[in-house]
Amino acid sequence: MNIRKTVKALFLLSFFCSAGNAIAQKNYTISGSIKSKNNGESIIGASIKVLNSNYGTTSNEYGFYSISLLPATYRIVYSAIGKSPDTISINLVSNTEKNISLADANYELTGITITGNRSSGRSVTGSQMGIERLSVQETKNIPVIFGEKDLLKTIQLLPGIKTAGDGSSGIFVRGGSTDQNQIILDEANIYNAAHLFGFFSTFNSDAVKDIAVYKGGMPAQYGGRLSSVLDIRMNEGNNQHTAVSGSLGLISAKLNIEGPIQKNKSSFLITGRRTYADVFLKMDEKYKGNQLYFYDLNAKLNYELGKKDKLYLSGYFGKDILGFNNQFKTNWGNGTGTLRWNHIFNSRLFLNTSLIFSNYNYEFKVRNGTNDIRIFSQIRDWNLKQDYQYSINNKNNLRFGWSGIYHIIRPGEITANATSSISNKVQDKRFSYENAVYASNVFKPTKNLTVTLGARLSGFNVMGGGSFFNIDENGTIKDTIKYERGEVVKSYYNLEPRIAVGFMLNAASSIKASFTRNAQYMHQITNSNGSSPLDKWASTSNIIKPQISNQFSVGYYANVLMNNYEFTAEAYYKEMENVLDYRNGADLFLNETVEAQLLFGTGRAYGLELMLKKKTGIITGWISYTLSKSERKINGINNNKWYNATQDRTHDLSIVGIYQLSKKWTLSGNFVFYTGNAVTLPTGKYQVNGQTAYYYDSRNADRMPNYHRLDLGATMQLKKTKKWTKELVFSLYNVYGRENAYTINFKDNKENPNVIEITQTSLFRWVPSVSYNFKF
Amino acid sequence: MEKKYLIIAVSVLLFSMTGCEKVIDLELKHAAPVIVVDGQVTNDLTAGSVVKLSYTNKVKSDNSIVPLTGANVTIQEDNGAVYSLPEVSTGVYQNKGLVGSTNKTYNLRVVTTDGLTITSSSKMPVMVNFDSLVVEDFPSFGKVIKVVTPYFNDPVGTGNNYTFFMYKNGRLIKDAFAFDDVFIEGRKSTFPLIYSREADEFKKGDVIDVVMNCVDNANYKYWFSFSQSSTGRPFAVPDNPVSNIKGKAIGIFSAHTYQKRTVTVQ
Repeated sequence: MNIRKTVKALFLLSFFCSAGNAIAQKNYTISGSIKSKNNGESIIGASIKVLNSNYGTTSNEYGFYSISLLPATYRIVYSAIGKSPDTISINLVSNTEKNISLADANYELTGITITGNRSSGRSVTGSQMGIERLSVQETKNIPVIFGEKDLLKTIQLLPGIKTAGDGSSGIFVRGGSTDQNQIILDEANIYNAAHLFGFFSTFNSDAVKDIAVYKGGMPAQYGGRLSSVLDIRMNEGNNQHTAVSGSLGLISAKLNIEGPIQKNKSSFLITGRRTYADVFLKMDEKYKGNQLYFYDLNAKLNYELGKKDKLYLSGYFGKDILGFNNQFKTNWGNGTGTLRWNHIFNSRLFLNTSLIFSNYNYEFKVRNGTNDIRIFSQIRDWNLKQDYQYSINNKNNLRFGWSGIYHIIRPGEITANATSSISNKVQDKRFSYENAVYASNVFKPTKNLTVTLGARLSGFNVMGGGSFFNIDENGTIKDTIKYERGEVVKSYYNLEPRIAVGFMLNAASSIKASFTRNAQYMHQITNSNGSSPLDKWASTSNIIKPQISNQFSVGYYANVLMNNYEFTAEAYYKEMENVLDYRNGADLFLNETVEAQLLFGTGRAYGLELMLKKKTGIITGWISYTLSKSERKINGINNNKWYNATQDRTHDLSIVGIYQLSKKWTLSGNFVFYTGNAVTLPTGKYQVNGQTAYYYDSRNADRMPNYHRLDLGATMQLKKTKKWTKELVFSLYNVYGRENAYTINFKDNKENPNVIEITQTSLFRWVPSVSYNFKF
Repeated sequence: MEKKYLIIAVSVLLFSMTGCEKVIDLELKHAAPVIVVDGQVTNDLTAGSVVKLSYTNKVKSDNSIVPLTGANVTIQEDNGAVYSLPEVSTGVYQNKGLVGSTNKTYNLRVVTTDGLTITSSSKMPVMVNFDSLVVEDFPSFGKVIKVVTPYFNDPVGTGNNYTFFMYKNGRLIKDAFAFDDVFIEGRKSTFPLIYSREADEFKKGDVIDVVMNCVDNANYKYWFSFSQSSTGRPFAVPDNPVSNIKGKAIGIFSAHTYQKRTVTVQ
């Protein structure tokens, strides 16, 4: 069969790449883990560079690295963001273990000059492109709305990543929709990464170590979404000493406790956050009966079983609660758990096995005596996977593995009391398996060239029981077929090539190109532009086909001006198949035949992303600019012609600057400008049954006004002793009070219903905030 | 429906936080005028059977109608009598003799002076009794508003559809309500009609009229999609309501039952 052939071809390919070197001189391996000296946290993406050569690697998600070299004497530099680099000399005559602890870069002593590669994201070397990596440390001074540090908001300042709306944590990556982003926290899928309708993300920055965003060129171990992967890793906990930190802000309070269970070997971490706007609300008689808050809890435990085995157990739980007068109450949230086992077979072969659980549900309750109604919906995943990393020799690094996910969806359930108007209704549960095998080899045939050849074979099995429908092109149900539990309704397979090439032009610049195919089997169906907790996830079925994207990208990368600046340019073209939209007038609410309400089509997105980053000095920051286009063509919409996607924004500019004024003060600012969203404005008006109706003749052909905003921030270091660190963080969002349009409404004038008025609603003007952070 | 509650709740919440609304001027494109059919056949003598024909107008013009005059309008009852609707005032076509009956299909045919033919048909469903109209308290963020709730008993068997229109002190409220019976099949409906505009807020002494129409599914679809995406408020991606008019025209033709109840807010 086709699949068998391709898998075979893939493995042959990997062998072919490595075979050429097998007969060459024997390689030895230097391997080990890279940690932070002061708290024992493993460092992701640390750079390991062999001086005076082109050999190098980066540490993996667990801080482990392995590099194979010919026997010789080498000098090796270990460096990472915010750390002082360390250089060692080694005479390589046998496989060697080198565990490295990097100390925090001491800005005050060194006068803030950091050598080496501060930003591990956009690296000149290697073949990986389309990646943005940020550590919480890097972003801590950038001003944010409500003073609530939020990685999902900070990454919106990077090229190719656009905000879904003012103050929103939702993102559009390279013209894709929000559900095309795979958001994983310690490998667990987060189905709804938004608190409070998107104004906050579910990621408490105190619990998070770092985020890697893949906009293109996704490595083969990732799959399942078209537009991006947001790989978020939680802190592991300090294994040196117990530490308590926290913050008090206008919106929320946070507390973080971490410490060793056994020094150097194992540690724990518990972080909690709760917003308390509702506490203030309760002081006002008017709002007394209302509830409005969210909380989250992150916990992690890691334990060294021996020299070669390490266990990690991490969990996240978060919930939003909104209620009016005990009559109307809704809550929603995610819960995840990840159990991981790192095993080092030998200095060359590293294995991680993960068992992952993820759950998202919402509940909506109305309680007024006659109508006591409860609405419930849930999506739950069980995921088992293994990922092998094998350093074959100094020219080949192989990564391979498999993953199996079991999805259980409870699409919608409504229950009500006997006096209610509503009859109970429980929609059929949906079961499915999403499986994948993958392999990818990073091959360095010459000093300047890196070739990554990889592929992922994904499969999706739609399982019974329950009723499935066949529909005609008008969305009318032709027949209903009942399936038993365990019966396969339909299966899909996709081969997803992941190919990348990087070529060093000289020691400081390179060009890269890549091709990536992604298949997406879980889809979010929404009929509004904003994020709603009621947005529904639907799995691929006999009617909903997997979404497929093909992305080509090319890039240029250069370290300029004595390595103080980094310039990168990437261009991409992405085509998408089976993207979905809903029929006009679709009613998605608890609809058993939701598939009959959908339309399918194609999409295309292309763009140019430029970024100039200043990495060192008293002033750091970046300018990022994106020129892009994103369109859809769906039969049944816009007369079957191409139209601008909601995600289409022509220009998007961000400028970020951080100024270390003195030991005590750090100032920061960012400016954002982007083209107004593509919207559909009426081109005519009429009266029907006394109601004013608007006529629309083309989808998303108009624009909202352009968006721009300036934010300023300042961090004041209070008393700093060996034990205590305290700081005050001030920020002002939207400094010049620009009224950016959030929505545009057309309505009859209140006094004179014979004329209409156009109104614009804007959300945030001059949002000041202050928060107090402490650590001991 | 719950989604609409939520959206209203959230908008109230956001505006109470920091939001602000202001009147703006926008440059808008103008589509060439399109014919609009606004026709109904009812079982009620006062409400009558009337077909209004007009053209779409510029968005920024006033809300008066641009009438389509001189058309030939007929309505056929099932396969029987053909009623001619003469133009009683500009753009308004009416035949006082035409009173609809339940379970009958009405076929509309319009021929314009340019020779353009527009057709539609609609079946008047069985009438479900509009039992009563009551005023209730509805909790919202930071306040409790007065709303009206129409009570009626949905008959057993799915496929019943309803639309509601509200008048406050004789003035039509610009909000359309469309219910189907997917969740209320065979039960007493007690859902309030929640208006979306603060300007419409009910005060003590206000006289509220509610018109309940039993409509066919095409009409339900029209008014449901209208309330979602054609009111000029961004609940969903804006689009034209799903019309049952065939030919180069938009709008709705509906054969429905008509009942009205009145209540005074205490």
